[in-house]
Amino acid sequence: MDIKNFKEKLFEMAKKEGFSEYELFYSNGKSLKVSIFKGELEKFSNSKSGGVSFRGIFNGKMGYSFCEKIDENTIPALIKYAKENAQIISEDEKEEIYKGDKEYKTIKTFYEDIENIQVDEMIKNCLEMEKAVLEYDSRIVSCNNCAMAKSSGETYIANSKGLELSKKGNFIFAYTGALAKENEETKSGMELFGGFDIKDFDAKKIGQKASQKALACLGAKSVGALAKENEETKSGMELFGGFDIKDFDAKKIGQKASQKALACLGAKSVPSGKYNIVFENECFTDLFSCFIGNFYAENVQKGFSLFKDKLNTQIASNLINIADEPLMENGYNSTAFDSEGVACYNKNIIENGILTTENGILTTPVEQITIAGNYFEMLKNIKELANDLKFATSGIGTPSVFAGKLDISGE
Amino acid sequence: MIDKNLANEILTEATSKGADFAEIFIENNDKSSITLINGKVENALSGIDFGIGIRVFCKGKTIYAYTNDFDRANLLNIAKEVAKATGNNRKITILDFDKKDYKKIGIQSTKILPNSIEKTKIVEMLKNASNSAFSYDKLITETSASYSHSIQNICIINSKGLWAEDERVRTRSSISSVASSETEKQTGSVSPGALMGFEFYNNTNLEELAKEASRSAVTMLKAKYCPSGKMPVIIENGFGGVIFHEACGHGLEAISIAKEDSVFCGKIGQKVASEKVTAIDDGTILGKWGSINIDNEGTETQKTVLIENGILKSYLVDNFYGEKINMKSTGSCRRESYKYAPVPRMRNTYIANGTDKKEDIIASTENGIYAKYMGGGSVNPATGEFNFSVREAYIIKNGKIIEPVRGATLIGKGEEVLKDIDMVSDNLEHAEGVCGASSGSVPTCVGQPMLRVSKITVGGRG
Repeated sequence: MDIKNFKEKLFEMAKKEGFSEYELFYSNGKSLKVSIFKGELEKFSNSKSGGVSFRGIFNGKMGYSFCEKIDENTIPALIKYAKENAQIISEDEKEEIYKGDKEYKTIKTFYEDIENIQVDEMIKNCLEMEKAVLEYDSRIVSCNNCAMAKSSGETYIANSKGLELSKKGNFIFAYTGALAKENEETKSGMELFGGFDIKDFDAKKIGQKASQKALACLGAKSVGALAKENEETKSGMELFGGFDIKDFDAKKIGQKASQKALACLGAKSVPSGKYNIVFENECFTDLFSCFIGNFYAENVQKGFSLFKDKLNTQIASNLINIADEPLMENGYNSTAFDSEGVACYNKNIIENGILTTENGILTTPVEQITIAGNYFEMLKNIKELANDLKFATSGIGTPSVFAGKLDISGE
Repeated sequence: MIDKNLANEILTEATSKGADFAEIFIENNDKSSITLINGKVENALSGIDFGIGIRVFCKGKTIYAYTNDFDRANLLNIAKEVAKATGNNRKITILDFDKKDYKKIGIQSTKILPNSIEKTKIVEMLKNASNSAFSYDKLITETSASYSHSIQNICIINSKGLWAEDERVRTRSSISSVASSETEKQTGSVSPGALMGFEFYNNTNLEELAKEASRSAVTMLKAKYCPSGKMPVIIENGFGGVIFHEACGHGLEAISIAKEDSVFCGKIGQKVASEKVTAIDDGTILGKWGSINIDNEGTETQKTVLIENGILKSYLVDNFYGEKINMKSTGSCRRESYKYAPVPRMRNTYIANGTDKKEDIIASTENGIYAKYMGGGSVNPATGEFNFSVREAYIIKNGKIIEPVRGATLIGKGEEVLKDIDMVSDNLEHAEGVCGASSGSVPTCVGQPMLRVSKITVGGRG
């Protein structure tokens, strides 16, 4: 059913049922993904789906509902659920339907090149990545993940105050994993490419980097030295959140991975205690992501943030600058307006210092250690920042950070 | 949920280019959730997820497509695209479907549909739990109480003539208490749930559970930091089983075995754990959160012994990966929704009761940690390396629990921990969780009796 037609019918019933203001949010998506295993197409998936969510003010309070069946017959359920939910929501939850802004910035979020890539080409890219992983070193025993996917989506918002906005965007990514084995010890590595400009994609380099990462971890011993610490946390992140993502520079990645691999071999054991800790950019991004909720106004207002009443006070080392830039070019979460139709703008969250340059710390690989500390104390004690800012697919990024002394537990 | 002729047309079209097998999965999921913060309704949301997935097997690979546009032309077009990814011309003819409705014949059934309950009644139940959490101690500064239910109707139809329907009704609540001092916050929480309707709350006392959440938060607020090093660790029953789930269970799923991505590959019949360890994954326990009548390939679920007295007995198997490793389905194929191709997953996983007594385990431990409640963590599934936080831990000295400590983490390798389990008690309990993997988030239980690992690396401060 056509979405504008659906909107008309929905709004008609909402009005009749006593909602004073109301809004429809619709989004749809298409995606295509291919996975390779042992030189053959292992998985192919393709999807096309959409859903609507409705919200409306009933007796002064906002109620929400959603549905994935977009046809006339589901309108009564959307209205009924929203009404039930409005009736139980707390009086304190004051929400409004937004009338819209005068101006919305134009940012590029849709790329024709991505839309035009065919399945055959995606399969070919995966085969190249897999080959690069397996041929990299005789200790690489398996390429346990190898896939490429693209997705696109559209969003439409309309409400009773006359707001009507739409946007579309797309994205492509590829990832590969490597398993390295030596002396009964198995380690894994993973590499990801995500982006907008398909010309940047280099299958071979991605495969090689995944293998390098797996090899780099071989020979790690229990209990950590300073650098070991970094490696351990980093490896945890790759597996948990996913991957390594950046504007793809094959040569740099290759060189850096080689350096890491060399530095990591032959780690030594160190006892538990306080150590100076350097978090690599990907690793610190992961840590930072866990605490980002503290910056959300809602959490601050409700007392769930430790930043409550801290506006205009020093909460971090004066080296730290934190910005939120929804209008960034080629940003993973770039958007001209938010989910309520409010125009987005770039803003500084913490503005206190200058980014300094510091690079090149030799590391030794470690496994089986933990780091402990208080994040907020650590923010205040940060000693230095590197110039290697890197974004994860979550849209969150940090440079590498020298955090000062923290506790390490080993044997 | 779909017309028989249309289902037949879709399956015929999907297999028209040489696929060996085609399957349709249809779902209608009526969901609702309510969240109270500090006793006030902060969030209330309900709606319906609805869609169809089409899966095809062709020469050892899977092709998956889904949509929620049920227009006949769109469905047939998707089936055609799926077929394109397969090989030459060969048609599978389906004569008739063998229809089974597990709503009527399944052992798991619901008494009170949760969408028949007035939402104000649910809010009242959560408010009482929140009040109970607050009144436990003045140090409790915030609470969160939430409720959710889902009524998932499914229909699985395949080219072998299977037509299975079922209704899965689940409900879960969660109470969290935050205890605060001037500079610190500590959280305690409980999250009971079941494959049951609203009758679940007849025997679940949220107010008592809320007190337990507050007790844990307050205890941790007053606790010192945990020491670090390698030492014996006693892990309490219930959610303690999360370590087995994460660090071993995932490695026993046939998808990891088929990809040779697991430390348990090729080890059936071999000793992989201490003889004290018997591990089971059971989808048949009545009303349990991770139970099912049939899995998402339409196979009736079962109780699967994974490890018996330390010997590896079985993996968790579905039809697709089962064919690759030459094993029969264990009724373990699961998915979050029609948006995911299903893969073998855990259901209610647990380490079975042993013969040791709880008191003896503590009394025989000279110097170690007692982990009462485990928290979250992460695992490398290929190597079994894990790290977990301990939500509530205590120091043990000379066979006695001495004092609570906070900030503890446990790190190790699943394989090694299994071998280092040296005592297993007899107080098995299950705990509800949500497990995320390639086929999305599915409800699972973890579980175990109290057990001891002779040595494990504990991370702390100092």
